Amino acid sequence: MKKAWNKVSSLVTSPFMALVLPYGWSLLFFLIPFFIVLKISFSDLKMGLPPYGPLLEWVEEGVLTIRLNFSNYAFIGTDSLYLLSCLESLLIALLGTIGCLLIGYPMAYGLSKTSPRWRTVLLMLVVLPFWTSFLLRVYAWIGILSPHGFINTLLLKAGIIASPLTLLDTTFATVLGIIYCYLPFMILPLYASLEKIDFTLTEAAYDLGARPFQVFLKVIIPLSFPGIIAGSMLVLIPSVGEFVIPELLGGSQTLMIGKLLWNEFFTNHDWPVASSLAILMLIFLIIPLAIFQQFQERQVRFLDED
Amino acid sequence: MQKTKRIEVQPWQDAKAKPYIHLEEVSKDFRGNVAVDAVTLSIFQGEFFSLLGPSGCGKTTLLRMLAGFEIPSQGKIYIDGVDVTRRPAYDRPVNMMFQSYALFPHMTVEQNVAFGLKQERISKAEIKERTKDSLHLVQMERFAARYPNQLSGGQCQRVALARSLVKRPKLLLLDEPLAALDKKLREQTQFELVNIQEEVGITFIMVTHDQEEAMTMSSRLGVMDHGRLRQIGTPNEIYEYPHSEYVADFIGSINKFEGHVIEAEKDHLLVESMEAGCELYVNHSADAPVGAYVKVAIRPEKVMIATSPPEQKRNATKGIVKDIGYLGDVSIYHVELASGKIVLATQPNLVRLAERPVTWKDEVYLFWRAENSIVLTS
Repeated sequence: MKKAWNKVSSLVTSPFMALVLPYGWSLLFFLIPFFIVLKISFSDLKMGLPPYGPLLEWVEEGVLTIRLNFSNYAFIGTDSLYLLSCLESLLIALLGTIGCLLIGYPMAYGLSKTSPRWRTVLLMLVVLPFWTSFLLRVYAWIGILSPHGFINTLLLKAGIIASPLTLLDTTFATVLGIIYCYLPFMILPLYASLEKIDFTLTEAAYDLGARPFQVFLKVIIPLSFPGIIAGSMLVLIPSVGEFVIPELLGGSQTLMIGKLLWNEFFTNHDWPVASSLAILMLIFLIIPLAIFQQFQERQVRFLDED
Repeated sequence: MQKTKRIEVQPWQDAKAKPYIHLEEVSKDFRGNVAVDAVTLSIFQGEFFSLLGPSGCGKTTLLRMLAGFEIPSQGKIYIDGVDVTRRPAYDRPVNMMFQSYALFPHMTVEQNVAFGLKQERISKAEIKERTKDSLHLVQMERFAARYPNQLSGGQCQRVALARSLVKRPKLLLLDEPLAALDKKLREQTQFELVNIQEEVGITFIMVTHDQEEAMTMSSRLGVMDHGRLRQIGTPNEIYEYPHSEYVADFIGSINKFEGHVIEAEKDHLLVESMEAGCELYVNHSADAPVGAYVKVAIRPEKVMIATSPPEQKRNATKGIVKDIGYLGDVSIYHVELASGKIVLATQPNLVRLAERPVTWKDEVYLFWRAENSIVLTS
């Protein structure tokens, strides 16, 4: 009995378990749902519950047939709306990522340079917005951007503009919302990699005649590259499929893939087409990511080895 | 690179010689903590100057002010006649070799060395040529394509040296350049570094806490303590003629006898010392009147040991051998005088251990020559 218990406890604390837990989690909550969506994408549209037909069917005694319906994918190809919204999602997400990088980098750099005492407080402030509901924070932007909102009222009163600017329900508002919501995801990994940089390296660069901008370009940026990549991925990937922000701030103009998926699922009740769209989007994102990852691994190897 | 011979003349003794590096009353305080306190120092072209002192004595701060990483609170720094006190680090004809070497981990050895040249308007061909020359100088050509993390500590040190020399600075600063190497490699590198300095003819200023390193490598050295330069001189001057007890203690070991001046003349000083048990005769004058309390110091290797009494009466005493430290080439005898004072005397082991004339508990006579003793007044 005791022996068995020892075996169990040594298994629980073994490095094997450290691998099993996260991979088990991924299998359960990512891979299985993924295969369910993949399955639906190859099925027929059907009225009823669930609103799609089965893939596997017993035709006669002992014969199992598999029916893969590619027409969902073909349908997506026929309507340019899907491709356009894919591209628009990517564009908006890219603009959001660039915005986060431009705002986040100086903030992370500043954080890494402040005294440890202040750093804790400032890091707290970076994550503070997470303490309020995400939805609430996006709603707040409606109040700021709407025709009678904060910005327009201010500008009208100051006499800078004669009639309210259209800020809400634009692509601009969506990008702004993404930058606002995802900024902490950019700052934290950037800060982590900037904080690790040995600042005698920047002194060495100054000493060798590099002016501040050159030092930034040739030493600080390359050494914080892992942070730039990690932050950009953390912002880019979820914001491509973002639904809440374009729905609330982008209006009917902004066609992001998240909204389109919503429409397919809940307005058209066409689960198979919606699933196909989701799968295509995933492939669309994974391929460039995989290539990039490969490239980055080669770049970063020298930093990790020690 | 151009070859120059090591300076045979001693420009610091020539009143008309123009200093190449000049610090004038340079001070630095960090929020009330004085790190460097009114240091005035002249260094001449081609010198290998060492700043020696314990950690926290301000030597590194002084070096960082020369590099341009710190701005002096007071005073001025001139390099080749130009006031560089407030010039940023990237705008000074000075390069530094960092204690941690500070090689850029994302660049190859070649890129590291070429980095400084790329900041100037130099043709690509020349950058390549000079980088190659510089790597050749430190025998690291074969490793040009490697990354710093693929090199050993000694190899990193060479690359750091090549990188700081490639721009042909007017002044090269070295911050504890050998501290990260193991003892054997360090000794070997000391001479290499001196040879390279002679070859390139660049003025070197090195910071170190290792007195042996400073003694073997420098043309002159400055001993620092609490932000002040206590004494500047050639290794020989510092060792043989320390001005103060601090410097005498810091460099090597030394025997000190307390006493009172009983005769103070232009050419000699006579000190009566209960501690030594004899009159101490010093054949140079000192800033001490009759009756003044002074310390007379003598280096252990200058103290001779004999089993029979010497002819001289002054600078001669006797005691019992308490301990013998055998170091192979030399032995250190710890001799206890009648006053209880322990005197160290170093003797070369001319004969094998078993045959030596003096051993434990023997009564021995100690004596030394008048010109070898030093009067310490502070």
